[in-house]
Amino acid sequence: MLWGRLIRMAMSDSEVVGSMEAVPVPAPVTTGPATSTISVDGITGEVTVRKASGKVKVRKGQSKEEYENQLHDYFQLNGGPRKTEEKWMDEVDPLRLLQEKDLTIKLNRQSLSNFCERLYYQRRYDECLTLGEELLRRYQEVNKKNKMQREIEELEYMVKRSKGK
Amino acid sequence: MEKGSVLIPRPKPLRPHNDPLHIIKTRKATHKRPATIAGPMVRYSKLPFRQVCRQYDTDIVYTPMILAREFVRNPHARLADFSTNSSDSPLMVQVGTNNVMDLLKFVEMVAPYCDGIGINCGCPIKEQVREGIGCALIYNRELLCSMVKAVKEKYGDLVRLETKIRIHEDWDQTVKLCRDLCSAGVDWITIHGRTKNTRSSHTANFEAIRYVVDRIRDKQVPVVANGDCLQSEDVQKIAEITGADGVMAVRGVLSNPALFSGFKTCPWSCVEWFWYYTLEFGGLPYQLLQHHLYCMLENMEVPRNLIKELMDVKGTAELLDWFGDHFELKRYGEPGFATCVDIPWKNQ
Repeated sequence: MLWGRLIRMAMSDSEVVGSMEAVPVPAPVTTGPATSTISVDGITGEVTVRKASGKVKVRKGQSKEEYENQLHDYFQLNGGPRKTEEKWMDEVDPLRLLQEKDLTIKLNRQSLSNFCERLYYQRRYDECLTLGEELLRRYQEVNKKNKMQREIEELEYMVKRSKGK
Repeated sequence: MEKGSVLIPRPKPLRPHNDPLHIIKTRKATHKRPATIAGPMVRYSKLPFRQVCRQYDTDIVYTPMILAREFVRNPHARLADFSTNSSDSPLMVQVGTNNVMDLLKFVEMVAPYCDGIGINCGCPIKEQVREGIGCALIYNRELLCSMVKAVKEKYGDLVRLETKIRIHEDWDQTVKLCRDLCSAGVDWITIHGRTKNTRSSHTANFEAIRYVVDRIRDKQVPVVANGDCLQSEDVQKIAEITGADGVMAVRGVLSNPALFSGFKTCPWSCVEWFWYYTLEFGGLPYQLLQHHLYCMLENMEVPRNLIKELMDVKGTAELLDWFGDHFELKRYGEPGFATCVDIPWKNQ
């Protein structure tokens, strides 16, 4: 019965985010033999996991404002999940991207290296060489404590091989 | 639909060609075979692999399990866990969750970009079970049914919702769970023929799936059978034994994405498609790329010494060259691309 109340609260929270002011009610929920017990805060979604050993772990909830910020980031700023159609990379100039992106972020570097790999796959070795040399130069500028060694080695490999093809 | 200042898109419209429930219900009548489904694999069911599966008669493809808690809270998790495109359909997004709040938020964020959502109630990994996720849910009937009910009450037929469960030691418990899920509004149920504690080295129990199928028939909710679909001939066999409307392969398609097209071993064309899609969509983490190719080449019975060489290669470009050294690897657009079945050895 308690769970039924929580469900109603959870649903109304999702549909009308403004119902967050209600008092949180934790609901103990057993998760089966020899596992653990979890409690869910019906308002914020905070989950308390009580392990068989007695140790308690709290998984943080999410306020209405925090969720709205995520919705804004996801739908408004990014237009949903990342979408990669075939040939999407033909529409993007990686050298321009190189000027815009923060190269200390690994995901940005991976994205740029992927342009180089695609050119290598397509046997467009001259373009691969040009882009690879520029990426190498820029990566080396931000390579602190040699943490990007593997990425730099991969670019060096493509540059070296592209010269020979 | 506007919520606060954020415009939230509606769930993606469902038509006969992309409605997974319609596909599962009609394949036996229209194609004389069960619906064919590539199941969710931790790490591996990313967009390039999903597109390869679709080249070979796979009706429905799943994403890897995405943790709702992380997805609704963390932009980096969203970027890492889910990418798609206009041809990524019919697509099921599998979610790992232990509460209604996160699930409803997750559905709100994902439903505009997929054709259905599946709740993972089968993952036996200790770390997830401890959190009340995956397999833990089959021992928590009330919670699981409340999650299904909450989504279906909010979205009705606008969102397809599936649960993927494992069997219990006591099959009647599975029957009870399935009947309750049907009453809660689940669109279909995928049943893995192993219990929480059955090792993958033990065979899946199709009789148990049949037992459940026979006892929920009156509910008219389709069942998909999962487990040990490793060869093309397994598809019909599993459907016949279990009476299921669809068959899900997981490890089988990882090694041979053309399994549902009737290929006994992975055709070379899969390798060429996989290389193309991986690089066309913007790459995969190298270890993923390497593991996919390892699984396919091993299935083709490439000699062990070459497989070992492949595993020693350290980067994407080097791996491309390794393929070029040993095989005639055609690029997309080149004559004969993705038409070869047998391994095109370089020196033959």
